[in-house]
Amino acid sequence: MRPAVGLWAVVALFACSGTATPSSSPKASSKSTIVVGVTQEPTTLDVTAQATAAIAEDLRDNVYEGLVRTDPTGKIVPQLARSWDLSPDGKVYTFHLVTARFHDGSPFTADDVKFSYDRAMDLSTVPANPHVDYWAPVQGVDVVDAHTVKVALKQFSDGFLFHMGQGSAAIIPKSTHLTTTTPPVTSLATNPVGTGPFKFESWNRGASLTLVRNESYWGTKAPLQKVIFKYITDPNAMNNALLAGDIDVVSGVTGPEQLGSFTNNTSFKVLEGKPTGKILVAMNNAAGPTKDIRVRQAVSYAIDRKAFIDGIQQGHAVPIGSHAVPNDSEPYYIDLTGLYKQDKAKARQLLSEAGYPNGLTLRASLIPFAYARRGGDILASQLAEVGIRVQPQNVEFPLWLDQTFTKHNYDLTIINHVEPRDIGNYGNPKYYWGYDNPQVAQLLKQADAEQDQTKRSDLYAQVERQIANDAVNAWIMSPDSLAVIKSNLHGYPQSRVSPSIYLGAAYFS
Amino acid sequence: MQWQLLTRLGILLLSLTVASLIIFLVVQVLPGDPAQVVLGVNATPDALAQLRHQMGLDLPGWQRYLAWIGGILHGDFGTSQVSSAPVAELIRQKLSVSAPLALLGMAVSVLISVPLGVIAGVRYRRLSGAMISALSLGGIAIPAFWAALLMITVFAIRLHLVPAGGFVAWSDDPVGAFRSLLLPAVSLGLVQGAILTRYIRSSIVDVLREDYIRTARAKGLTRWQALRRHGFRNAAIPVVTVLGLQLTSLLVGAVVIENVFYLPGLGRMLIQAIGNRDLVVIQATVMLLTGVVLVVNFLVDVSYRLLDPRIRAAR
Amino acid sequence: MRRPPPTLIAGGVLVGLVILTALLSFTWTPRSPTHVVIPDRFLGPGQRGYLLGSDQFGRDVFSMLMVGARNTLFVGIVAVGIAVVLGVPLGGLAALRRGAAEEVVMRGSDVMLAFPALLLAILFAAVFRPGTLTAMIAIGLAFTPVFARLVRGTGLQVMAQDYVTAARTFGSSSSGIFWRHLLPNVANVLIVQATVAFALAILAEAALSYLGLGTQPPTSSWGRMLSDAQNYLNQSALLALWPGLAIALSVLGFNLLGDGLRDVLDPKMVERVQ
Repeated sequence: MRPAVGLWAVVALFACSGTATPSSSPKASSKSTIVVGVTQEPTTLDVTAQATAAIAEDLRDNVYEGLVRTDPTGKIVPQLARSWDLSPDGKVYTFHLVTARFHDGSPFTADDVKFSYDRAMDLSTVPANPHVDYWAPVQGVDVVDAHTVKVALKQFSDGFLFHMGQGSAAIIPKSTHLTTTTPPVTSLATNPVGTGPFKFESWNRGASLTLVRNESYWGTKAPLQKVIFKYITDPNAMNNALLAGDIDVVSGVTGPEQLGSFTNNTSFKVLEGKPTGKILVAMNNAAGPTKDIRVRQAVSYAIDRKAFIDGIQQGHAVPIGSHAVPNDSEPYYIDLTGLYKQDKAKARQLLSEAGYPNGLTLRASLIPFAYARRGGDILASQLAEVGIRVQPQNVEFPLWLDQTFTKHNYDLTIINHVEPRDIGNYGNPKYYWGYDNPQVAQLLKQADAEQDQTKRSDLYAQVERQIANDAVNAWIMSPDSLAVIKSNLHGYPQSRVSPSIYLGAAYFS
Repeated sequence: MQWQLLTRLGILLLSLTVASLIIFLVVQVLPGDPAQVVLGVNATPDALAQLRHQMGLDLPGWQRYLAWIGGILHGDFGTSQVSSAPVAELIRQKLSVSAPLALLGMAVSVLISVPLGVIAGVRYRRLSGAMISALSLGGIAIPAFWAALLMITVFAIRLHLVPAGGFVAWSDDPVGAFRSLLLPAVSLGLVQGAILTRYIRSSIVDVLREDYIRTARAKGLTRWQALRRHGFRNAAIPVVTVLGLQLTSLLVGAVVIENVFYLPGLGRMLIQAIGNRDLVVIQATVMLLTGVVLVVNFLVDVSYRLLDPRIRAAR
Repeated sequence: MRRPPPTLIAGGVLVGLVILTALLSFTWTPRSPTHVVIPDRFLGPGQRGYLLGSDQFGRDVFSMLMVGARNTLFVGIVAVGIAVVLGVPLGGLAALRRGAAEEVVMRGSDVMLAFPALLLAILFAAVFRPGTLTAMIAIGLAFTPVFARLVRGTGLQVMAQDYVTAARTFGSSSSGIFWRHLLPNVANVLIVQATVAFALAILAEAALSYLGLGTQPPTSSWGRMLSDAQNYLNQSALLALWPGLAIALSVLGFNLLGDGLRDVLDPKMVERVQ
């Protein structure tokens, strides 16, 4: 009978799909492939060409390496430089390099270091290095011999070595060339070559990135044979993939409300590491109503950090009161959260003094990440209670880069500054905040050039206090690094201070 | 007949040209500087100017338009500004997701609507017919993406039968890939199926009212027999028309559904390209979708004329 | 006067409900739809006085639905309004003038019909700022050819009538014929088509808002509520139920109303389909 056939077809459609049951027991211990769920996919694989952390996340320390790297707590450890000496005046680093080969077979030498650094420093390089300022203290790079390279600085810089451990300071082969595409990119954009424990195999855009073990790695060979990064934007889909066994790791939990499915499940481990990143409400100090410090202070007084911490991160975050986080990468951190405790009456009063007795309207540009969009709703509600009407503008990241970051066309924006040790931006009046304070700029220069650790921390602390007093931005919280892994996975980074998901030591038991 | 065909073809070509003009004009007004997006935040003004020149952004509009059209005719859809991949290649990759999805959705909608529509039509004065009709009325009111969310909740989250989103490559795991397309296809197909059910029902009801059916029934045939002998072919004509137009709705519906399930198809690529201000991809994708719609409309129009002898004879 | 068909009654009730809710939202909602109360997150219906529960930020779902109704109606009215204001004169022009004008209008309609409302709206949202206004204009433009064709089709029938030929002979101007003869005879069909178009406009706007290309925050919108709810299906599946139900019931209401109106105004009319 016709209708019965139709109905059975529909039932069959559902029935034949149900062979997979959620795997609740770990796979066999001879597993040598790891599948890592990642939310953001890189748009290019050349880590020296773009500012987004997604590239470093997948490739830094796995494929690309630098002279040094930052370990999960934020300390600087050797990588391609097995050791280094610093001259007494703190101006000359002599790096002693390991013997290694790039994935294309060419030997790694000091010439490659010089090539990579010269290229990064050169302002006419296309595509430009996203962090040219990392090399600002550098005078010059000299090759001493094949395994020794000297980097001379204009004066001692505390931040220099730390920055050389970041993604954009990766050492690339001196044979790297530009392709003929429009716009011009290097060959690394689709075929990354480095010295790391894994080699690039393939990139299925929109879906996944595959790496294979580098059998002739200069260091300890990686236990895993294959790495697959799977790009899943939706937190639900990500969690279900982990529950179903399609992935082994949820690398960055964007929706901590999802953790409930994993905390009481022995098949999985929830890794909660150090807080990293500074989520803040950035304000335009140079134009618009937020130019007035009283308006910025009013915003700061209107905010209740706990609502953000609970509402967005389900409690997995620490409140911060200035531009520093309590982890080892920023040892100068001091707690300034008490400076602007929520005080709605005071906020209203400040607004009146600033000439807005009946409140005002402020635009807020919000990128698609969960903390920004959700934060936008919470911020709008809290500011409404002191008379500030927030006009949210949902923008994609490139548009944010253009309008907010480059053209400074904004009042408020919610953003997560993930790069560690970037407090130096407060000395740059052209940075999108438009904060111009020569004293702070001077303090920052002094701090970077200060060789004594205690004196340096003290100088940075002064900066933190000053920018907090000036209410340059309204700092909200630093989210804990959160990941969920299969319980038989070991060697996965507990915390991630720098974005990279280092897998060279990971293995399944 | 030949003359009619040629006229229709000419109209198709004209429509394609006008559509491409509209798309090109609209997209070129896009705010946001593509060169800035590509080179990043610290690019120097010289590098930006150089890139703009290389991307051809400083040529006059009509030249860029002709270059674009010329490229399309050669199968060259340009290069993505954001990922530097040839757009034709990207489209090919995404089609391997979108095409099966649309076809599966069409299959689901036909599987649902043909039996239901026929029953509702034949039994249009009975309770079962009326119930199906009411059900279909509810069906067309349901947003496809809502149906998708509800099904995700039940089948993916509660029952873990299918993934809640994402896609495995056909080459990696064909079964997994099919599983990933099931819920999306059903979400698409359910709503389209409801629409199609109503068409089929009304088409059959119309046919049943025709004189030749009454004659057949007077001769002693049941409704079913009468239809089978005379009516189904005639009832099929408007349905065939609608099937073709369904493809349009399916394609557009797929754009939303791909975003619900995070499927790496054309629809998702389009939305992402908009966020990235990737002009080349936006232009190519919208042109492709519009082109498909126009061609399908043309084919439906032609087949309608071929099928229906009354129209063939007229004019 | 016959008894009104059940579809008309059912449709009228549903549509009336939506309109009333929307109007009421201007003066009163149980709570402010944008007020965040984190400790009250994910409450079920009826708990702590939240009629349909609360969302991930403790906002009252019912209040958000009410404001969403207002938004939905607004979009429907403006979009259909644009389509009617543009499409009817164009169709009338085609029917009255014939010849070149008719060809242009018909071919233009063909091309415009190739742009499904959603695709056009997505394109517009990409180029201009995404928002309610952009969405309404795009949807309205996409529906214009439908009305143009409708008016032309019925208009041709009207023009064939004897009394129109007579009026023409006596020197009635085109616009006179349009207003006095064409429009009144097309009115019934137009009304029915308008209600159907309204239903489709609601669906299109919901899809756009779901994609983030329609109504922007903080204005509540049913489509965006669904998009938010998707992130929390594990915590509270109900959050995905209410806004979708609201959309479905509104669309159903307008469809039923259209069916009912057709039965009342012109029972012999062939079922027109989108």
